[in-house]
Formats: sequence, C-alpha cells, structure tokens
Amino acid sequence: MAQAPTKPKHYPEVVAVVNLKGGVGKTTLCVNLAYGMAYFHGKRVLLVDLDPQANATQYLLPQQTYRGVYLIEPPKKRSVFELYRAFEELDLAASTAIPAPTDPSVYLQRVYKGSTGYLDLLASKLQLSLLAFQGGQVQKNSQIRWLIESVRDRYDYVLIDAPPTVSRMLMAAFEAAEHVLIPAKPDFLSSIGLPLLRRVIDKEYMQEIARRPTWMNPLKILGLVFTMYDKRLRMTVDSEEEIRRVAGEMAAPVFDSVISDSTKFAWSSQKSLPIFRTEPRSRYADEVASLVSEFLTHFEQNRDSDEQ
Amino acid sequence: MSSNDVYALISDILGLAGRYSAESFRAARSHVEKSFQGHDQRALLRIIETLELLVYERARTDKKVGAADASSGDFELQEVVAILQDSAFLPRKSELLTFLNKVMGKSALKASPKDSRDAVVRKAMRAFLQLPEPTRTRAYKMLHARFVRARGSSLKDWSDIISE
Repeated sequence: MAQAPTKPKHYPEVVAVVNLKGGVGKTTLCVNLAYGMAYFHGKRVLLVDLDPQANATQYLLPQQTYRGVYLIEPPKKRSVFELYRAFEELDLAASTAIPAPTDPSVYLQRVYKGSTGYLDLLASKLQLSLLAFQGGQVQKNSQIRWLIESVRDRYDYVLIDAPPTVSRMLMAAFEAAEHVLIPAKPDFLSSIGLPLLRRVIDKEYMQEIARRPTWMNPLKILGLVFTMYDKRLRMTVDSEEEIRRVAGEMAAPVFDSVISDSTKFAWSSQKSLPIFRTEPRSRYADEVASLVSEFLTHFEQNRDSDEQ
Repeated sequence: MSSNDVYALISDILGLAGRYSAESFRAARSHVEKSFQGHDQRALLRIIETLELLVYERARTDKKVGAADASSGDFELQEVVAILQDSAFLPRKSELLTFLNKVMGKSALKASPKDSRDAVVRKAMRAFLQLPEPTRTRAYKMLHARFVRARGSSLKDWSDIISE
C-alpha cells in the first residue's frame, strides 16, 4: 500500500477567521489576536489578509508605510493580488512542474518585532475582488498554502482574515487552514449565518473544491468568539443563547473570552495599532489579552495530548 | 581588577539574570560604573543592558502575562521598546534624538549626533530603565502620545491609495 505523504515538520497552526455575515468584527478580532500572540507571548505570527476590502491591511499599516512599500516603483513588497497573478502567469506559460513564483519574502511585510516574536502581514488589495470574476480558476486555490509551506519554519501561527462571501479567496483560506475560528456578533442575522457556514464547509468546499494534501488534517471548527458584545442589550442576551444552541449542534466550542463593542476599536484601527497599544489600560485590552491566552492554551493543550 | 575578577562579576551578572529585579540590575550597573573604566566598563554595561532586556522579556513571556495582569511598569517598558524599535517612528535620526533628549533628559540619554540610530535607540532603552518611577511614567506618556499621534490615518488618503 502506498504511504501517505507525511505532514511537513513545522507546518504552522493555520486558522481561517470566517463569518459569512459581514460587519461582525472579524477583522478587529483577527488583527488583535494575531498581534497579541506576537506582542504578549513572543510568538512568530503571519496574518494573511484575503479580504479584498483590505481592512486588516489598513488596520496594521500606517498610510505612509503602505505608500512607501507597495506604491513605489519598483515596489518593495507585493500583495496577495500579485501572488495570485504570479501563479496565473505560470499557468499561462503552461509549465508542467510549477516552480515557486518568486522568493516568498517579497510578499511578507514585517509589522511588529519584539525580542523573540514578530508579526508579518501578507497585504490585500481591492483588485483582489476582480479575480473572483475570472473563469476556469475554480480548482486553483493553493496559492496561500504554497506561500505558507514555503515559509513554514518562520511561523508558529498563521491567521487568515477571510472574506465574508463564498468566493475563490474563501476557498483558498480553507485550502491552507486546518482550523476555522468564527467571530459572532450576538444578533439574529449572525445566528442564521452559522449553519450556512457549516454547509459551505461540508458541502461546497469539502465535496466540490477541496484538493487537500493527505498530510493535512480535516478542516475543523476551532470555536466561536463573541464579538461586538454588549451585555446591557436584551438582544445580546437572547441572541447569545440562540447562537450557543446552534454552536452546540455544530460541535463548535464557544470561547469564554469575548470582545466587547466599543468605538475604541475604531480609534485603534485609525492609528494602525491594536487596542492594547493605543489603550493599554482599558478593559478592551484586557479582553484581547485574555482571548489570546485562551486561544494559545487551546493549541498547547492539544499539543500536550498529542504527545502523550 | 584582574581577569578573574571580571569573570566573577560576569558570573554575578548572569546570576542576576536568574532572579530578575530592576533594583539588582541597577546595583550591578552602579558597581561597574564605579569599578571599571574605558573599554571594560563599556563592555560590561552592554552585557548588563542586553541581559536586562532579554531577562525582562523572558520573565514576561514565561509568566504568559497579558495586559490584564502585567504591572504598569511592565507594559510601559514593553511599549517603549516596541515604539523605539519601530523604524517608521521619527525615521530621521536627528528628529528622534531631539525628541528623546526632551523626553528622557540629555544627561540621562547620553547620546550624541554621531551615534547610529541603533545606538540612540539602545541608549534610550537604557536611559528609560534607569529613570526613577515618576519620571519614567511621564516619559512613557510623552513617547506614547507622540507615537500614536504620528500614526493617524485619514479616510481621504486611504481612498486615494485604494484607487491608485
């Protein structure tokens, strides 16, 4: 019997952050969680912005930096849009064995560096949305996984900020990830979106799109995090109960930590900094720190049980 | 002092690293400044300074502290290190030096225009660690306010960037 290819050593923990409903605080969660792992715990983290709205990119990079890195000629770094284009050019050249498009480092921009940890960004661009209209590309979603495999020794964790639409970018996020994290705003429409996401993963993705290598674990829902949480609202209490029920049916654990609703997050995004750097004494900074610890504990416990 | 004395001192410093306290590092620095001159003094101070930053960082990550349980001194130091290591903050060295002289005080910073940017940043971190508590908090607040102010985004700029 042929042996299955083994998982490459050090393939990082890759988590797609997804909700098919927009406006639930997905990017805020993704940016603060990724940055927090590097800042508080010295982890080596990559954030992949796969949403054509490019909000994670705008959250993390000051405008001057963006101009000086991506908009000069020749650009110092390239975005995920250029990564897709590089793959397409290789396809057009009808190369049989597809080589790496170029040095993967050209796609990675350092955002934060501590003494041991760091956060890198694969930036997005609005043009990414145009790729969704190109035909004949339905099965070609391995670009992000290629990038992560190419730089796997450099990172402990990769978070993918996936778009809130069923699209090529969402499928590329699933193709690269082994875990899905769901941000959920406690309101009625969010609770409707959860079974829809489950269906997209199980049916559209797993049955029709997936081309996962055999060494990858099946895509699993890591859990659900309540975002834009305001416990003073009746709607929050009612919707939280309903969402917990739906999450239970989906076997999706609910994180104890929540991220509250606050304009301070909008302020921090305007400063291109996570909340714990703009408002370090705020309760929102504490919430993020607590979520980061809970998130990492989950992986550490799983690693311990795998080793036993 | 003989080479043996120097090695014994380095050993003491490494011992300090095992039980981090800002006070013991301050005492070690003061001892080196009194007992050594010239190149030896500079080299030993560099060792202490590097160890202090490393040990501080290790102690913090080992405890797995976040903003919730870090003491105010911890997060101030961490934030100052992050700000100073951000090369986008006051990218012109002269501007950075002028600002840091204002924040830390020229006598505490001990940096000159001939120093490289890295050397200015290193000296600023050392000066920050040595500042007495109230001055240190004031310096943190000034540094943080300037850093955050410099990072403002405007909606119009982003819309220009996106459509370029």
